[in-house]
Amino acid sequence: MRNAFFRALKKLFVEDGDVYFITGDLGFKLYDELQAHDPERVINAGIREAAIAGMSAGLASEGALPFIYSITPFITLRCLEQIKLDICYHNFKVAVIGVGGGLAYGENGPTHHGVEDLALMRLLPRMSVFCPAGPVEVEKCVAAVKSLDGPVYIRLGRNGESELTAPGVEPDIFGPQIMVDGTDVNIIATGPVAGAAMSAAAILKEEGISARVVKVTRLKPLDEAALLNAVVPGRPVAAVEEHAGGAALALPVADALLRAGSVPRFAKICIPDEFPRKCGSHSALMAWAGLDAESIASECGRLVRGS
Amino acid sequence: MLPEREADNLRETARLVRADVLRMAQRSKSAHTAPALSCADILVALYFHAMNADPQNPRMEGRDRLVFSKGHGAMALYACLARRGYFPVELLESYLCDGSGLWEHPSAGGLPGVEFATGSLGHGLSIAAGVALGLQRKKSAARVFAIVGDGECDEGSVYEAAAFAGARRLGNLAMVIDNNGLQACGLCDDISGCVDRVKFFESLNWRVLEADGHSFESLADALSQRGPAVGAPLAIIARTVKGKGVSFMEHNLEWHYRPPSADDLEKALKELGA
Repeated sequence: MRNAFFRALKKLFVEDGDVYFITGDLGFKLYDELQAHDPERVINAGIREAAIAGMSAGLASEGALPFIYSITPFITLRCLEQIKLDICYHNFKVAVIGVGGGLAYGENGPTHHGVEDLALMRLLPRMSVFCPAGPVEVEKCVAAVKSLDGPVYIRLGRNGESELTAPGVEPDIFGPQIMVDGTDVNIIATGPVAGAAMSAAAILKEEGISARVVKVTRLKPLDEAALLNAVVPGRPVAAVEEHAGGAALALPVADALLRAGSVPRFAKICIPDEFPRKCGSHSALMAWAGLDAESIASECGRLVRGS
Repeated sequence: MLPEREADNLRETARLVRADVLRMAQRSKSAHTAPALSCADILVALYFHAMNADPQNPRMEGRDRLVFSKGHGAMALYACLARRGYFPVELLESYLCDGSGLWEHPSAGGLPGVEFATGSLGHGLSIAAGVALGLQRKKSAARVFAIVGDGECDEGSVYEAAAFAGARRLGNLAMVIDNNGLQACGLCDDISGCVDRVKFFESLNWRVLEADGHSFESLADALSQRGPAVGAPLAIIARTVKGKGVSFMEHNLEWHYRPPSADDLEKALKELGA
């Protein structure tokens, strides 16, 4: 997804002379082509995220369209106040790009895990929030930035993610998209973990449970009407996210359901409220978090059986 | 003045530490080999010479503390701790394995000898300042050391911590800057301009020394410059080379990222005589 981002950015960068790429000393060799095209608009500002966020607001005020980039927690938590005030409060169009969202930086440890970003960005007025599920969605999100009002947050994975939509099917980055149809349980998922949700549906099918998997890429604004339409009414709902506390997807989905008068059996499948104690690769940590296909299937099976 | 025999011993230990780092990196395909090599001698000078510590009693009250703020140099920290006796050297083989306590950046509460989790740059000097305050409150004779990267000094929080430490006269705090001139995507001078770190920290009421970060005589001398516990904190700007000790890695940004292959490892170990 990281490579997809730079591919898409290069296209935009060449077309639009207002686009800037600003990095906090990350992305070695990945922005060389941008640099070769127009070095004035490529800035390695150093390891100083608060300054980068503030500076991007200033640049945006002068007509630029900055894309600011770092590892997810550094470009969100580290400079949250600058994003809130300098960017969002002024409604400047800045694209905030967090690479390696969730547990994607695996062995690097909790300092590099960005698991609160989506909720925090959702809380900021005027911020659009995207959690693309694969490389093509990343390219669509980047292409969409210019047409959106105000600032945008895009959480990228890292590398090696598969394309989740079937060949010939256009990924929908704005509204909920049914990835697997089913009737017994709704699994709503955001980001690359939707792949694990789809695999979970296959496991459940073997157990005689028909799961519907609904992918949601744009978390803010959340298309609630479309979401309520996309779920099987009256059936249990599990919300799956590579994020802490269910705060990216589960809580807003539950909120939407409740306000619509729908109170299905509900589960949030998300990163637990603790730091991982033992080192692990991305996949090992996803298993620790209960976000692998087997764990998701098990939780959904429990939901359906009511046990 | 560091006795010759002790200097020789420190050099030998540093050789072992470098070999450990290279083996860890090759086995795990980890990034950050060159950053670990650049601070290896600083770590050895601290753990094997300057710091009062007992590996059998890692939380000994009167111990000197180290905040390893340059967290991505973790392989060198782990190797030093192992060689110093905090845990078995064999444990280094578990670096980055699923279930291991040895993450790519030091974790919290994971390993004996690791005082604080680091890895998000710019945190450690503030933590060290707080430790220094706490030690002053206890009227302890212990010192707190911080190893900070030069690129890490980009972060505003380093300025904040430094200003605080100078203002609060944390004379029991000593920071060593691993000044190798390179950061993740280029030369520090290109990214941040030519910062005069001596003037910078002096302007914040620190006492500043420069040292050769690969000379134990120079490091030992600088680390011994201890003022009163309530007084100016000490900054040692240690000139280092990223990738020091392996000729094809020195001052080469590729080796921030690239793990050594089996061939690279063999060549590197041969150079080290390990």
